[in-house]
Amino acid sequence: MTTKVLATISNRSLRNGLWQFNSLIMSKPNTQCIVNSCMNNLTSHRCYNIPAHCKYSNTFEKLQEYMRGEDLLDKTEKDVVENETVEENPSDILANLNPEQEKTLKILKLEYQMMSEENPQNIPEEMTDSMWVELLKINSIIARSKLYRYYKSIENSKRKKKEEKEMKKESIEETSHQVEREHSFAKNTIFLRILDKTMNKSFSDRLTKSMQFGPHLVFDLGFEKQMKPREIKNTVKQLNMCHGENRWTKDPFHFVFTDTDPKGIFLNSFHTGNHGSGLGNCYTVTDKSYLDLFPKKDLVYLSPHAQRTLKYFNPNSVYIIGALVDKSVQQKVTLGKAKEQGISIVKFPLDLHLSWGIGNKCLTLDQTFKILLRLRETNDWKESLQFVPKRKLAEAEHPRNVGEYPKQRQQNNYKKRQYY
Amino acid sequence: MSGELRKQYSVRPKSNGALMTFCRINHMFRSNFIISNSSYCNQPKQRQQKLNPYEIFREELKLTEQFLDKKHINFNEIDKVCKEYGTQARFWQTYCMDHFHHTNDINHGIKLMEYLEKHSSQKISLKTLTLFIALTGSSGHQYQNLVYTTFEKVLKITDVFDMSSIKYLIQGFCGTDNWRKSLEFLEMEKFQSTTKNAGIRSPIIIKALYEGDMSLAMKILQELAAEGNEPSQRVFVEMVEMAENKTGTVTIDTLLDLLREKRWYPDENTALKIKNYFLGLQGEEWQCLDTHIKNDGVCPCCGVNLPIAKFNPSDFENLKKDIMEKLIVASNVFHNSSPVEIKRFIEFLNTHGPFDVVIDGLNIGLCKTPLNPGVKLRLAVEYFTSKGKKVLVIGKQHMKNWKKESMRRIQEQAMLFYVDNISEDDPFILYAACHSGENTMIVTRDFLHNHSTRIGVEYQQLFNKWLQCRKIPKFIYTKSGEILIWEPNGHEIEPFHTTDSWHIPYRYEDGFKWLCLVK
Repeated sequence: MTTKVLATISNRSLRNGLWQFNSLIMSKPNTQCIVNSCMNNLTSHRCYNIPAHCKYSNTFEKLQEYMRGEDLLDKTEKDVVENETVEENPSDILANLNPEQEKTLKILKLEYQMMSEENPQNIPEEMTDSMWVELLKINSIIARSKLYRYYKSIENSKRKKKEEKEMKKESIEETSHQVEREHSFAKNTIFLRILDKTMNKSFSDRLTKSMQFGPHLVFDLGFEKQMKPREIKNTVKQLNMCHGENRWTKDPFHFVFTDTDPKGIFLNSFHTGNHGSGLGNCYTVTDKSYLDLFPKKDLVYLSPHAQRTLKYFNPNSVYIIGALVDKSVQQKVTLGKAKEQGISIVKFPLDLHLSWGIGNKCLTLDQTFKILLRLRETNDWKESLQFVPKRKLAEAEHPRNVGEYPKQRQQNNYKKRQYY
Repeated sequence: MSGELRKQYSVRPKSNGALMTFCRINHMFRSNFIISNSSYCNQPKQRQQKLNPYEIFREELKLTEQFLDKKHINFNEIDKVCKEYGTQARFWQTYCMDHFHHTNDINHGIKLMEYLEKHSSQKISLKTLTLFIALTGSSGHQYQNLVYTTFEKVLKITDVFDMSSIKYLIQGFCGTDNWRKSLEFLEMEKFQSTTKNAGIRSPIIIKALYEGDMSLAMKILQELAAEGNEPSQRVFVEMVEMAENKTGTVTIDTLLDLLREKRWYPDENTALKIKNYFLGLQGEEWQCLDTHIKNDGVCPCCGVNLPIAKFNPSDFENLKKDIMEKLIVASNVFHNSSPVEIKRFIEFLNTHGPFDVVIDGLNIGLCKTPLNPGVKLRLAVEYFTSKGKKVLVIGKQHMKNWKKESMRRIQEQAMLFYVDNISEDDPFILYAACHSGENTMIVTRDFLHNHSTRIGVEYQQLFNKWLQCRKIPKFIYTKSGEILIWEPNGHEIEPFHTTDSWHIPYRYEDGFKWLCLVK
C-alpha cells in the first residue's frame, strides 16, 4: 500500500524562494511523492529536504499519466519503490528440492563434517538454512571453502562484540559512581549541546544546494550482473562510506546513481535501512543512464585502464565512477562501456606523483572519492593522493616489498651485459 | 584566569557528548587542530596463527617423533596426551591413520582399528575408516575381506560420499576383485563439482589396464582430455612397469601412441624409467642418451632428421574463427578493441595479401638492449627483407614518435599497421599469422600462455602445436649492433619412431629435453 502525495512547484514559488516538505510524511517508507517542476533540467530543481524515494517527473504530462494510473500499464518494472519482492524462506526452499539436489545436500553436509575435523578455525560451528541454500548454488570446492571462511569471520566478529559489551558493562558499573562526582561536564558546560537533528538538517541543507547548483557525481550501477553477491555487498559498503564522507564536507557533491536494475539488489539496499528513509539524506536514484540526464560533452569517465590522465578538476564537467568491484574477473569493463558511448576516459596520474611499490592500481570507490574531493578543494595532486593506501608505495616496509624481486628490477638497469 | 580555574577548564572534556560536539565543530570547519589517527602503520599486521589440529599433532605434541616411529606403539599414551591438551586434539586417530597410509604400514593400522573397537568410548570417524580401506587395498590382495567389512561399517554412517572419501574408497577397492564398484563412486563426483579430477581416476585406469580392459581406460582418458586435463604421471609410470613385467596387454607402443595423440609429456622420472626399460630389454642392445635438440631438427647423437609438422587447412580456418571470437571479440568488443578497428584491419589484410613474417613491434622495441627501439625494429625487419620475404609489423599509435629515420626505412621495405593505444595487439598478430597461411613466422619473446587458455579446449592443442613450430625461439642483439635470429624448423615435439630408433621428448624446466634411443 502506498500513499501518494502530489506536490507541484509553480513558477511563482520558484521565484519567491525555497519551500520545505513535511519531513514526517516523507520519512515513511511507503510513500511516493512526485515533484513537478516546469523546467526540464535536473539542475533547476528547487526542493528542500526531499528524501531519496521520491519520483521526479520533469514534465506535466507524465504527472497526469501517473495520477491516472497509466504509467503502471507500460512497465511494472518501474515501480521501484514498493518493496514487494517475493523472498522465499530458505527453509521453504530446502523442503522443495529435487532428488538430485537432496543428494548434493547430503554430500555437502558430509563435507562440512569432514572439514570441521581438519580445519576448525576456518569453518563455522553452526549452520543455518540460508547458508545451505547459498552453498548449494556453488559448484566448486575451493569456492565453498572460501564461503565457509567468510561465515566463520562473521561468527568471530559477533562473538567479539558480545565480549566487548560485557566488558563495557562491567567497567560502567565500576565507574558510574565516579562520573557523577567528578565530571559534571555533561550538565554544565561552555559548549553548546548540538543534537543529531540539527546536524542532519545542516547536511540536508548543503546537499540540496548541491542538487541545484553544485557539481554532480554519477555512480554507474549498471555492472550488477557481472558481480557476485559478495562483491555487491562490498560495493554497497563502499558507497555508504562515500556518502558518509560527502555529508560532512562544506561543499558536497550531488550523488546520482544511474543504470540501476529494478529487480536488483542495489535499489533495495538504498531504500531500506538508515540510508534510505530519514532526514539528512539527499541523492537521486534512477533507471536512466547518464546520457539522458547530462549533455555528452560534459561527461568524463574515470577508469584505471585509460590512456590520458586527469590534470585538473573541472567544475563544469560531470564525473562518472563505475560502481564495480572486480576481484574475481578483471576485464576492462569501464573502458569498454565508455568507448562504446563515446565519452572521454581519464585516469589519475599515479605514476607522476607517486613512487609505486607493489599493488593493484585500481583503487576502491571511497579512495577515489576522497581523492576527488580533495582535488576539488585544493588543486594539488600531492595532497589529494595521500588517500592511496601506503602499503602500495615503495616507501612502505611491507614484507612483500622487502623481498628480492622488486630490488632486482631496480638493479638490473645498471648492470652491463654483452648479450641480450 | 587564575591558576586553579585554568586547571579545571583546560582539561579536555571526558564525557562523550561534549567530545562529539567538539569533533563535529572541528570537522565541519576543517580547522587546524585535526584529531586523526594515522591510518596505517609501517609494521605488517601479524595474523594470529591458529594451528590446524594436524599442525598441533605435528609440532606441538610431536606425535610422530615420540610415538609413531617406533615399533611398538602404545595408543593409551597418545590418548592421554591429547586429552590433556584439550578439545582441539580430539581426532588423533585420523592423524595416526594418515601417517600409516603414507608409510604403507598395515600392521600398525590393524592394531589401531582393534584398539578403537575395544575402547568404544571413542567413535571411529569416517575418515579413519576410509583411510584404512585405502591402506588395505593398496597393500595387497590378501586383505580383501578387511576392505569389505570396513565398507559395511562405512555404509552404516552414510549412504553418500564426498570428494576425499571417494578418493580413498577408490584406492581401496581397486586392490580387490570387486574393482568395478569404484565406478559407482565416481558418479557421486558430479554432485560436488563440475570439473573432473584426474588424481582420483588414476587407480581405476591402472587396474583396468592390468585386467586387460583397454576400452574402459581409454574412455576415462578421453573424458579427461575433453576437458583439457592431464592424468597424473603415476599412470605413465605404471604402464612402463607393466610393459616390463609383461602383465596385461600393455606395450611401450601404446604408451607412446597415447602421448603423441593427446600431446602429453612425461616428467623427468618417467623418462628415467623409460630409459631403464629400454636398457633392460633382453635380446636387443639399445643406446640411450639425453640431449637437447636444437632448431635444425637434427639429433646430435645419431644424426636423424625429425619430421616436419603438417597442418590441415580446414583446421586452420576454424582456428581463425576461434581467434576472432574468443580473443579479439571475447565478451565485449570494446574491452580490447573496437569494431571500427577490426574492419580496418580486415580490409588491410585483404588488400595487402598474405605475409611471410609477422613481427610484434612493441615486444622487440621494448626489450632490454641499450639501443633505440626504432633501430632494433629496423634491424629485425632488414634481416628478413634481405632474404626476400614479405614482412608485416604490428604496433601501437605511439610508435609514430619513435626515431623517424628508422621508421621511414621500415615503411619503405615492409608494411606497418598501427593499433589503437588502448587496445591489445597480441590477438591481431595471431589473426594475421593465421590468415596468411601455414608457413608464416611469428617474431616475439612472449609465450602467449594466457591466449592459449582463452582459446578453449577444442583448438588448444592445435594452437600450441602451431606456436611451437612457427614462433621464433630466440633472438639476440650482439655488441656490434647486429641481430641474430634462430629460425624455427617446424619439427614436431612428439615421440618419433623409426625402425631402429626412438626419440622421446620430456619436460625439463621450462623447455624440452629429448631421449635418444638407438639400437
